[in-house]
Amino acid sequence: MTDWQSWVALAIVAVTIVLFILRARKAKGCNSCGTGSCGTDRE
Amino acid sequence: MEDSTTRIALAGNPNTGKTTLFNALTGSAAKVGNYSGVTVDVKRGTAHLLHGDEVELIDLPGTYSLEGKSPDQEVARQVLCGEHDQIPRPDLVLCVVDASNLERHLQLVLEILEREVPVVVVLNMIDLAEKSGLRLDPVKLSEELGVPVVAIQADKKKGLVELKQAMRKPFPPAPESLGWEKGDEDSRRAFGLATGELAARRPEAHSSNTSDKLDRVLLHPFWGWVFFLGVMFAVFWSIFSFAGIPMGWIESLQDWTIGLVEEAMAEGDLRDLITNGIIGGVGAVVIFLPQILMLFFFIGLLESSGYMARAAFLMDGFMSKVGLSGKAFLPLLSSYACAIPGVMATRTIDSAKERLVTIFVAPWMSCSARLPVYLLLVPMLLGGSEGGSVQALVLMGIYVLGTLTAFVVARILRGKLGPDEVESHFLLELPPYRRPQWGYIFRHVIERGWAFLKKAGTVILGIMILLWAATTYPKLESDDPGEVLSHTIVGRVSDAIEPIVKPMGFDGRTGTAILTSFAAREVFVGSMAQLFQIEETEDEGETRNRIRDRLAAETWPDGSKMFTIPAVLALLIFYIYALQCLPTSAVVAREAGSWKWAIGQFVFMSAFAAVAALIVFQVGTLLFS
Repeated sequence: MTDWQSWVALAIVAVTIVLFILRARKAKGCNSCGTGSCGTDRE
Repeated sequence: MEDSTTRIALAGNPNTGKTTLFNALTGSAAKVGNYSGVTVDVKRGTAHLLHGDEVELIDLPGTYSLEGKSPDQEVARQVLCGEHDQIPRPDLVLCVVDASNLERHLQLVLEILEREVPVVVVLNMIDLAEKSGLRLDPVKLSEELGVPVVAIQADKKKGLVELKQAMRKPFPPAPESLGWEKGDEDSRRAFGLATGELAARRPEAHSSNTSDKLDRVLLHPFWGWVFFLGVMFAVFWSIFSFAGIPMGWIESLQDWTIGLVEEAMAEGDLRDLITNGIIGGVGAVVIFLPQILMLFFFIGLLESSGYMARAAFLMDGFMSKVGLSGKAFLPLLSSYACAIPGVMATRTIDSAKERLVTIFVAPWMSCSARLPVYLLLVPMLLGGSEGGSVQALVLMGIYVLGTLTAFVVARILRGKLGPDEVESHFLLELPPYRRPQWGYIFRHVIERGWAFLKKAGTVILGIMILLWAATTYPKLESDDPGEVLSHTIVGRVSDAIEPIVKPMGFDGRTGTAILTSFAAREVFVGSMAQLFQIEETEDEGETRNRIRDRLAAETWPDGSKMFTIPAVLALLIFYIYALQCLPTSAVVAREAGSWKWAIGQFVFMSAFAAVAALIVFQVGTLLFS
């Protein structure tokens, strides 16, 4: 039996996968990590 | 349509306080260091003049001359000559010079004046110059050069009003005649020296100042090294010893939040995802925030006080032995914080071959993302709780091992690439020791801490959610947790990779945790927390050492201890050498101009790490058994 918690958890996992795919498509050049750990995100 | 923006460029030798002035004028917080080469890229910002007029400020990389071949010198020359493809020629150039080193710094000013652009000379750090006994005469300097001269103290924001007045339109025209022969280096140098002496008079008897006295000890061939190693040890010891209390707070907060969620929600997948996946996984990484902050505090302190340049000076002789010049030291040093700015800082290196070698070995300088892994494993290796000087020594040894390996590989690679066509010279100025700029240090620490938290809240959170899914699905209705786990994605992957990682002393779960950390290495700690927590029951008395305790108690199916000393050593060695950072590979590809270098570096470092871990485990097991 699948309760509501399982559905919400599955939805969170699905959204995470989509976000990762979008991030990978967007990533190019510097600040590709998106963390700004090198300070370039201020540009 | 014509672009009406007024552009003002900041040019000057390295370490003249250009970036400090840029920050003071724009109100931004670009990174400031008390050593050369902090600005390798062009920074742009907006400054407001006295009557609210807006101008665009362009902070050029520090350079000693416009005639050199390194990428940073090229950029500065292109911008000043109007040859840069993205930045139009500036309307005015602020030439920042260190008042204590006027004769030498004037050479660049004269080169820029030859380019016939409007120039204002900014005499910075006048307080230090006057303290050292120099008598400055900005009026005389202005007369000799034929351009306005403004004396300032950028760090104290003194003289900025006068400077902003000089930055108003109409700009002073470029001098009509020059006091030296244009394009003639000897004539220019002689003029620069004579003008420098006229504008900054030295007292008759030059008494050595505090910086000179300190340098006699700190740059001594023996005592200099003793002090250097002492400073490094103190840094690592502090990282281990002082961070315990704030780490305890983070952990209590984590436990309290888990308790809150468990009270509010009934048992189910979502509750499990929140408590074990998100709070447990991300929390295992965030708990190292205090140590990361401390590391950046010390780096900021050493940079800002002027000691970092001394460390570079000490290392120069050593660097030349491995075929690198002192210019490679600063990029390598930056890599201890993060390899990305380190790789970018190699732009200051003239020789293309030396630059490639430096880029190749930079990720072996242990970056701050490795720190959580080391902090988890080092106490396990020594069988105690966190803290103490032995652990600090081991941690220091880890950094030394990464560095030494980088040097050995650099030496081999440098030999293979052959000699340079152009000879490279390393010119490093030793700035006077200064009182640390606390404001900048704390801003830098907060910035880096925020970047770490941001990463924990985005990439690491995402990986933890996916990992939780991989340890939960597909589901199996069974009471045996082992059976449930082996049915999941992680269980299957673990089974598949166990034969590959077992010769290195790792089981399938550790192998899986390593796999999850290939995008970002600090994920390893959270992954281990998740992967090894599954079969465990709730334990109220868990302490900060809970992951370690759990791992220490793990056994192979035959009952033998899993995390033996050789196994932990092999794991440490793997993390010292493996390149598990996608952003670094992306930056290497861009800086080296080819993905071949990035892929080659990734394959080489991963293979090196695996072979080293294999040897350490196998030899270690033979010795310890």
